[in-house]
Amino acid sequence: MALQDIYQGILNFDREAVPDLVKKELDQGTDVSAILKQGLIAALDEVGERFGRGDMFLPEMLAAAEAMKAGLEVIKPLLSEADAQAAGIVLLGTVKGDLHDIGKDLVGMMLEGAGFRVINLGVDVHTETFLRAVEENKPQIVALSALLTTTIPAMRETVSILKQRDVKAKIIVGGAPVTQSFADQIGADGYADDAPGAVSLVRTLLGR
Amino acid sequence: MIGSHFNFFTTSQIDHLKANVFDLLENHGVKLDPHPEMFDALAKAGVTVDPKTNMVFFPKGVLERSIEEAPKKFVLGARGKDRVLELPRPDGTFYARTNTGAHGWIDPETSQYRKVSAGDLAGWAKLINRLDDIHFIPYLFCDDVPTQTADVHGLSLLLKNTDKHIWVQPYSASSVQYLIKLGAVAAGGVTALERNPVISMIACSLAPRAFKHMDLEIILQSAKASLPVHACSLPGAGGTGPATMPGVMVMAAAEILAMLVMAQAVKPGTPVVACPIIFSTDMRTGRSLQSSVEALKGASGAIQFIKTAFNLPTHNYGSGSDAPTVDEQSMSERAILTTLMGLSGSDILGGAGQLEVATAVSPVQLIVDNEVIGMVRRVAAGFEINDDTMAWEVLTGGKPGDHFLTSPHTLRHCRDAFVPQTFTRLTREAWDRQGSKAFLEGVLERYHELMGRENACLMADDQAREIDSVVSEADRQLAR
Repeated sequence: MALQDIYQGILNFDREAVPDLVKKELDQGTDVSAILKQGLIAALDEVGERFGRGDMFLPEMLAAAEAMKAGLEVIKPLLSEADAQAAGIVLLGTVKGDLHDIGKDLVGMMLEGAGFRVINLGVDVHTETFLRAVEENKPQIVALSALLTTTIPAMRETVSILKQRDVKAKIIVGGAPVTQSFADQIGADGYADDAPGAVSLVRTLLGR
Repeated sequence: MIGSHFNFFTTSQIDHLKANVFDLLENHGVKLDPHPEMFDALAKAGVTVDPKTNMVFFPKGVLERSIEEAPKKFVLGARGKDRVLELPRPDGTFYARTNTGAHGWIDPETSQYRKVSAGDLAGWAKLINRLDDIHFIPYLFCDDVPTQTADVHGLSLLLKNTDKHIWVQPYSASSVQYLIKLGAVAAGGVTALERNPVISMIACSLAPRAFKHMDLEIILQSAKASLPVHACSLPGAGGTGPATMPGVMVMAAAEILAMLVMAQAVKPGTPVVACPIIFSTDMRTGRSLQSSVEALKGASGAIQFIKTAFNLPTHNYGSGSDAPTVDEQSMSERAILTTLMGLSGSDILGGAGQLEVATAVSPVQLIVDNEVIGMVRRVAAGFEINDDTMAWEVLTGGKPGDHFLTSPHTLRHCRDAFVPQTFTRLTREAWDRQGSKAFLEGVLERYHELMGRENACLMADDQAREIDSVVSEADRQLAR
């Protein structure tokens, strides 16, 4: 029943109550992995479902992700090395010349909520900066965002150079002017048209 | 004659909104990208500039003086002498313009979506030359020219293909000088451009309360060249602006006034048009919407507030739709928008021909918009009340039960009515006899008719060669 309370707490956007509910569950001896999977991740999956149906609105989805993150913070020190690494690392940034960050940050929050470690490089990120960050952090995913039609060429260029330099991470793209066909054309490994879609895409690409 | 406008606000509401705009600018400020020349001009004008944080604060006295300095009447020039636009429009109504920056084109023949080409833009200009209720033109984003100079190519194509006023949206700080140079070639020189600004410039905030280097450069160079600046704030309620519209209005007005002060600081008397182009955020998807009822209400409210509080010429979307193609939704959304904005008192209605939240255009839609805008302009013109319009002589001279068809007064006024070119007013039988054509079939025929004529507004060859040499220079410098 208490795992259900955690699940429900996230769906009620209750970022105050969720950490306490998680602590209570830990005190009662519930397995950390069960709290993670049946409480936190199950709730976020439901959030994604509801958002996809249009039943949950954007600020509500973000509030749920915040609540989820607060719960995750409690169990993080207790997760096994394997669990902690399980989700993966995502490098995120808006491409060169583009200063828009709302959509990108939304994707970052949802990925964090889903347990991924997100390294957000910000806006107007040059290809060299992406390359340096890949070298330093060894991400499994590099996620590129663009809002302006005029910065679409920068996205193409970044994908091309990352591929040329034999970056092992999967490269995914998104943003208002980006489409699946454009993603295919520039050789990206994936495209999503909203934040929950990006979470599903990352999970699929990493087989999680 | 004055226009007929509705009113959202009481005087005390306007005062309350205005006080908050001044408070926001004076005590909370805006953030500018580093730009030494602009910082220097602002500091000299009495604005508080903190070079460490790049925050700028505007004392109330500076705001009031700058608003006073900005001209309340000026012209948007044009290559064609009869195309010059006096702002505000003397009859109390508005001007209309087409979309800026769309990259999508709904092909009139196939109704299919594709990217805009340079050929499309030239045809777009030719079509607009024939549409009387479309008064000026921005360029679209052409897919088949170098990306780095797409703005320079767009402007050159319009200058060569239309003699109407052109609205210029630079895509980079480095292209601004070439765009102004093109304007000067079309006007006949730098001094001639000051007298007859054939182009006016777009500068935008990066809502909330920030300004990019490119836009500071646009304001700086435009003011130096005495070009009108359309100061645009484009917040999305709930995303880049507060969720509630009065908050968005205050923020948009503050961002516009910040740009106005910048323009006056560089050159007092620089014409500024206030453009609170307000969107709402679809909370189900995060998408910005131009035609939600919230966006329409917020935008028309912002127009009324800014006009009343600061007496500045205003400009907003007055057409367009969130629908991706020409359909029933695109028609009904723009009908509401044009009516609302036309009657809100906006001096310029933008977005004619646009679809999919300003990212695509359709020539077929544009022909319809030209008609709708023309109709709404008739409404916005209000009524002229005098003996002739009250037909006093005819009313008192005629007999009860008689008719007016043969009266000289009717003969004099029988061509006053707006005659649409594409709307059907036939009986069912007559409509059947003419092939029972759907509305858009008729519009397409009109498109063919208009495009079948010669473009009478082409630029002279020698001037066009000068334009080409500026474009080549920009390509050499920027499109490497």
